[in-house]
Amino acid sequence: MHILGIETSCDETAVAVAVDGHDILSNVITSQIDKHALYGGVIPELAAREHLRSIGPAVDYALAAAKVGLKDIDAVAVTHSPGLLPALLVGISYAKGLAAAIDRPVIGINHFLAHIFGAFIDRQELIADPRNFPVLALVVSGGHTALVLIQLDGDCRIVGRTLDDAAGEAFDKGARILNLSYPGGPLIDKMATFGDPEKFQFPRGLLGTSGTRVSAENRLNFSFSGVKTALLYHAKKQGLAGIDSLVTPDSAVKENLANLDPILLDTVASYQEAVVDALTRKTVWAIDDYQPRTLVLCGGVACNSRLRTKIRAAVDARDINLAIAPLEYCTDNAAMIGGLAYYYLCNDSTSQLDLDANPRLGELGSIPIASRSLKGAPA
Amino acid sequence: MINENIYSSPQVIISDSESETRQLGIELAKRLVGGTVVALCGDLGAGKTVFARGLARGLGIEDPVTSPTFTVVQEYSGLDLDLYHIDLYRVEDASDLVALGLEQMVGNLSAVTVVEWAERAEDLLEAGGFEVKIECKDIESRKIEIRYF
Repeated sequence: MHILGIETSCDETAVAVAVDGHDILSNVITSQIDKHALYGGVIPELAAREHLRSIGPAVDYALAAAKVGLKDIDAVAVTHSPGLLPALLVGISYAKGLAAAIDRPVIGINHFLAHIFGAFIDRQELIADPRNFPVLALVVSGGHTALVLIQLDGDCRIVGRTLDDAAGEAFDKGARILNLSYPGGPLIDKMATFGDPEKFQFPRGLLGTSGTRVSAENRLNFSFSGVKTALLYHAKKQGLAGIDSLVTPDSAVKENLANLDPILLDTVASYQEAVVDALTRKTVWAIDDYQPRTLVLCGGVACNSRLRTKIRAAVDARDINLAIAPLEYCTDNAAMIGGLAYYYLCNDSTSQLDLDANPRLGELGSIPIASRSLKGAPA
Repeated sequence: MINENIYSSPQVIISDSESETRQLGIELAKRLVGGTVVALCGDLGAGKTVFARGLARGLGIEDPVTSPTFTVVQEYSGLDLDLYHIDLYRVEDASDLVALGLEQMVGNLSAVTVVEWAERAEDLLEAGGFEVKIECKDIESRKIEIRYF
């Protein structure tokens, strides 16, 4: 079945054509990142205006690239939660209009769950085998940081989440404090390879490293506001807060990076290490608690090479599967939307035309990806 | 401690810790009526979210109050009053706020709206409310000015 996926929850206008969940015929992303770089972040109204301008051409392009027409589309899937309300509404309105016009169902998809599914697009065999459940997913992005447990019956539960800032936000705000350009994450990743991650000690929130005991309820929760504040004072103390020239991706070629102030490079490496260390250690605790058979790493921060390395090392020490979302599915995309929607379509759980946007990440409910939860599959 | 007459005379308080800043938020929440805006001003790391977290607790909200930097708006259900938690960190132009529905939130008499980086939308904050300026003195202590406008 061909599903047209549409994603407009944040920066990216993305459209994809996915067949039977895993065969991605096209995956179009109209990146808006350059415009946002001018402002240092996402500006919701601007994002909505850009989505409105881009969505029509993006759909045409995705269909053409997939070499299919609207008559071949069996359903239209769209991100309906969570995200920026004005941005979500552009995608939803378009999807509903299109679905009504071609007389096909519309399927509202949770962006957060779709990111987890992104790790399985190329690894269908993992979710086809019930023995690979339960699945534990570390979802790390600019807006979210959470550990999600998925059972064989599709039941999803958040077992750990950030109490304040998301890990991606810690990178973005850290970059802002050090006068690095937006988006901060990729630049910090590159710069950190030239610094010493052990040079400075930044706090790891809710890990008990500062001598305070971690309460049982916060055992798997995260906190990244403390490390951000610590960086602020460190930068002031080291005189790093006011570097004259903005470090931009253009100036981030190797020879330039290596020539940067060593204290700045050590700071970046140590700061990244604190964030990555907290993510990794909490994930290991969650593995110990819930004994999952598969670990998923997904979301924009899953692109961070240090996090990938440390998570891989942690998983290698245990006998479980690791599914790291490919880079193109870590950042926002519509392939994961159209792909996941296939499983909802198989379960006849399509949406109605009163489908509405929900900016909040509420209860996750169920993600029917295991073979057992597919309708008609043997129990 | 926040004075009884905070509505008529501004107050300057020195907070010596994160928990004191949070406590001030709890106390202010108890004096708020629906439709009030609490405008939080201060640099990165000053403790705006900490204060907002206190407000939420003071309104009887038990859910974790996470940073709205990325989502821009977070909504919470309180006991008597709901809470809109807004962050203008990534918003440069106040006209962009119209599309976010800020005016509807501020006009909602069964909710309180707390706005971080409020200095970026001064003209939208004429509805009447509190301005809370948080200034870093050193790593722990903060000078907090609370003024009704």
